[in-house]
Amino acid sequence: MTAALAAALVLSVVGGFSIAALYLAWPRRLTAEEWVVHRRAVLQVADATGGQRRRAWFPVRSTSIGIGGLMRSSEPDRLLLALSSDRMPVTTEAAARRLLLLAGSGAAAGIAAVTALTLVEGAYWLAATAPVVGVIGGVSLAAGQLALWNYRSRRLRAEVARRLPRVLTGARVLLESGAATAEGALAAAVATYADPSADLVREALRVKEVQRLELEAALDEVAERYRVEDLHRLADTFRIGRRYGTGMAALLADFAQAARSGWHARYRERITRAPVLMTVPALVFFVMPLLALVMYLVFSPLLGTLSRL
Amino acid sequence: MRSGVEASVILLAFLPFVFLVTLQLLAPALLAPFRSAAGEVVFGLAVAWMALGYGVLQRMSEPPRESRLRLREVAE
Repeated sequence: MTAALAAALVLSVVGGFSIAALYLAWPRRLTAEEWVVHRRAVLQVADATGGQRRRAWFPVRSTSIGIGGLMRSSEPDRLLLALSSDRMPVTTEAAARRLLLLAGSGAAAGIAAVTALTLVEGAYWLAATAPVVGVIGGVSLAAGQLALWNYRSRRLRAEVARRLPRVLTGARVLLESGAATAEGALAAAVATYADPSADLVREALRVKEVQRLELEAALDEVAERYRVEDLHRLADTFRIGRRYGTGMAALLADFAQAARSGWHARYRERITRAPVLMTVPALVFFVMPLLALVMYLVFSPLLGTLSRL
Repeated sequence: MRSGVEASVILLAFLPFVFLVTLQLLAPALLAPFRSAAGEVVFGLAVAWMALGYGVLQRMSEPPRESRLRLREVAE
């Protein structure tokens, strides 16, 4: 090993560690909000039991994690996504068919790839791994589809939480103009906007009419069916308003204001936690390629020398 | 608060380049492997990976986009 190579190796190690240390231990004081978030996270970890952690990872009503449990847990997601897409399989049978088709395609693709590799390389022992690769391919595609539904529905729920106050503000404007009754104003507002949040309230109004329920009960049913927590809160607001005789316009204004404030608080918390959440991506996307570059600088002369031997 | 996060993202993105430029100024011979074809490919891949990371971190810190609610008459 030459002196230059040794110096390059030492420089690469020192450089890599210094940059990683510089990022992790950048001298700055925690803000009060960061401290509150940090303490809350520590307390949550201290209080968490195994069962609570499992509930956080698998937010299903049933404790069974079989195929049926997965299908049931994805049903609210599929129903919600079906509001904005005609191609979404709504029934359990259609969803199972889609997942089976994907699993079959993944398995066939995995087996075909391993077979092709076996024939090209002439290494026939590879054929023994074909079933395992097939199973991995099938499970991956089906799980990927479930994860995609879950991801898209979470985004849609976040959109609903952000846009519902605006739809309700539209209803309040109609109500204050004296143009409609309370439910008439809601019906007019949801008929005006082409938005998933408006579609959910319209679904609640439809359930109310078809099943002859109170609006609050219909909102609760729709909230349960599509797993949208904001509709539960809206139902509670209406329930309290009906009990104490509060005006509908005031209720809607209060709910919209509270929803907006809650959304801003969540956004503020996310941005407060961002430096912590960004640690792993920063290591993966910046420190890792830099280390790769340094390693290339170190090892390419060595490989060049070895190849000349 | 968000500008602080954005500044962190920019700092992280530029730190590797600062390191490489410093190395180029202090010991240009050490960067000689990057002047070969394979070295350029490795360097290009690393820069592309960092650019992707910059995009990911920007997306994590971006403010929500407010879009107007579409009217049903317009949509149909």
